[in-house]
Amino acid sequence: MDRRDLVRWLSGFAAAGWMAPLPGAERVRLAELLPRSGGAAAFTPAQAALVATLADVIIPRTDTPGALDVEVPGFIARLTTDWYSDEEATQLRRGLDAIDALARARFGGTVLSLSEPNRTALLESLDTATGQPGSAEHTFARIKSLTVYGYFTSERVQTEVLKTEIVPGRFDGCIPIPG
Amino acid sequence: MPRHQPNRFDAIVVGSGITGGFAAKELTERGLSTLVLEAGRPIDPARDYTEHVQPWEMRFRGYGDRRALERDQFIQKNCYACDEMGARFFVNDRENPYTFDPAAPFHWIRGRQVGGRSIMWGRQVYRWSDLDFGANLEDGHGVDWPIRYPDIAPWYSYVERFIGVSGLAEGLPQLPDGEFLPPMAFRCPELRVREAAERVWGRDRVLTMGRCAVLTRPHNGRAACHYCGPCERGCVTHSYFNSLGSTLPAAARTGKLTLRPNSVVESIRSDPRTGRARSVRVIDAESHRTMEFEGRLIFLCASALESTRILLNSRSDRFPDGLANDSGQLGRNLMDHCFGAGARGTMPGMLDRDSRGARPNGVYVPRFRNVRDRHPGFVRGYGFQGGAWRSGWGRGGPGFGAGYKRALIREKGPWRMSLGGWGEMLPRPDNAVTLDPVVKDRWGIPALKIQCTFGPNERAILADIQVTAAEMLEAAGATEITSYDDRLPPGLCIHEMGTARMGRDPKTSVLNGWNQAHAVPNLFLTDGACMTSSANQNPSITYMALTARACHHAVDLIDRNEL
Repeated sequence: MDRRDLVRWLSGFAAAGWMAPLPGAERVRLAELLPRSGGAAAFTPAQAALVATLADVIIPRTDTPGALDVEVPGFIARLTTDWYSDEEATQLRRGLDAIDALARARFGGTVLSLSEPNRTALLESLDTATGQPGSAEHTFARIKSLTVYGYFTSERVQTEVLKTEIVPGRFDGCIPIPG
Repeated sequence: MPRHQPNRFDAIVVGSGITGGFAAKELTERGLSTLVLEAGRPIDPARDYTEHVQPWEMRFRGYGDRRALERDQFIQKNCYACDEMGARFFVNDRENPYTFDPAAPFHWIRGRQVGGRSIMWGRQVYRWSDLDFGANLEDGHGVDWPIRYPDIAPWYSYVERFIGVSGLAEGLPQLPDGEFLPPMAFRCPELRVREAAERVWGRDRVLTMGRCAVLTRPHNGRAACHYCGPCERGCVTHSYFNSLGSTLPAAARTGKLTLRPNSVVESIRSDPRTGRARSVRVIDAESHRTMEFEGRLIFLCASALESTRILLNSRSDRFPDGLANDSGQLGRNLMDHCFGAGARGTMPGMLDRDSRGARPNGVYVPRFRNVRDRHPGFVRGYGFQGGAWRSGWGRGGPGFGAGYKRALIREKGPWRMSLGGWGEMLPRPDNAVTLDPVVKDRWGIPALKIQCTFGPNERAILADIQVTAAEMLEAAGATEITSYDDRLPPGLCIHEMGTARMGRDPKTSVLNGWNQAHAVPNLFLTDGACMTSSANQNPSITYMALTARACHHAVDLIDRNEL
């Protein structure tokens, strides 16, 4: 997705008054939008919905933008189709299916459909475990690191949240942290 | 010289990087019409410099176009600077092949463009001392350097005054001070390690600020650094030194410079009667058309291995094993620095403090082994480069959700500090390059076959580095200290040198003490190939000083009708 598309995509949501935390139906809608955001070949609709859900849970919207506000799922889709090897992409997709399969086995539904306490319990168990590539645990870790990276390297977060100085103009080696 | 002959010049310089640029400046300023031949394309800072491009403007947010890198730059991508933006300054490995034993890899990192690797070099500059120039004679490895520190010291000053070097004078005999602009600032834990090292080891182990060719105040018409960070992607304010923004413009101002990009040098032709170098054979990189340029003086500044390849490929009845290769040493004694080992730790406290701005420089610990004492396990020594930092959001860690996000935004990780060693590599004749009998580059020029391994002395140095780096961090109160050795292959330090060494004896060396070929008086070579030993300091300033010195000597010889 290029930047012009990104702006159009974000402003489309803003125009819809989409300011509250995402209900499940919105996440599905988001997943439907993914093909237009460069993720066409990346995921099945169910996988895409899961990626969006996980990104939203990992970095939710608070008083600052959340992962979905800065197009993190599109970034994950782009890396999946254009950066990862075929094997890595296959493992990622398999791992996404494994996360939903685990959700169904433990709580009777996909991650998207779970109650918040159940979803948190499931993801905490994945977050504190390790696994082989293609496993639910490994894939959660990968989605999490991609979410954090995609979020913090986005223009909005860099400029509005972190207020990164591109040209500081000076270097101070050891100064008190303000306020 | 007759100006009406477009293919004839007083001097021809092969290469436009850190040494070629200096040769161009010195030779033109001394009045010689000079042709600079550069194998790569022209660089336009406005188009090609990308230091202010932000991650969100990159397709892969800085991860790099992995598929393109794996296809076209499978060697170059091992260099940290060959990333999503910097890849444009590194060669295409498919067009520029070389061969090696897969069990003994050598990473040859190359840049072909006007400015060469001076565009993305590491900018660290350290003088050598007679501890270095006298080392071969002292312990018997390699041959004796034909020069000593007093021969080069004024040229170090000459180069430093032109390029601008920031640094802190320390008065250490093994690392002579230079003509310094003000040093950059220490980060809090770096000062703590400096103080601790002084407390424990006195002046034996000094942690000083890195000496770097980055301006801390305006200098020679160039602006001071604005601390944006990624110098290796270029600098529109020319605040770090490269040939494109400094020496080449100076040469151009004389009106004596002709710069020809896209000029791949195939060989140097010599006169069978006189043995002198006569002309340079060039293949146009785009049209593949062959042409020839005549020069009264020829300076090879194409980088150590490229200059060596050109000489090996310049065979004649007089020089059947390569031009100027009467000694059989051409291609031998390949060195790099051994690095990729050191220690890291957490520096407790100072949590109310941070740094501001991206300092394009680290700290430096000059060599302390085999300076005053004698280490039982190895000869020569190593220096440390390193620094301290606080991690931000990139630290990740367990958790997710609103609290996790808030912590990554608002809090910083603890101070971490790392020291990595840069070790001297001994010259060994069996570390050698030859022309591959089969493989050729895109222009039909034989590729190099590179044989290079680290020996027991380098391995002993890498082992000691891990111990002393850890003990210096420990002395400063670091916790969670871990030593590491990434076991990097030779070449990756990008300090390859030594394959056409200087020496006193034409039977055992290619060049004399003025970088002049013993057997070809009008041929000079001043890039890394000339080096008789490697020391452990980053070598570029020594190359530049030798280049300026050789240029003035060559023009003096011409003025005295001795050439």
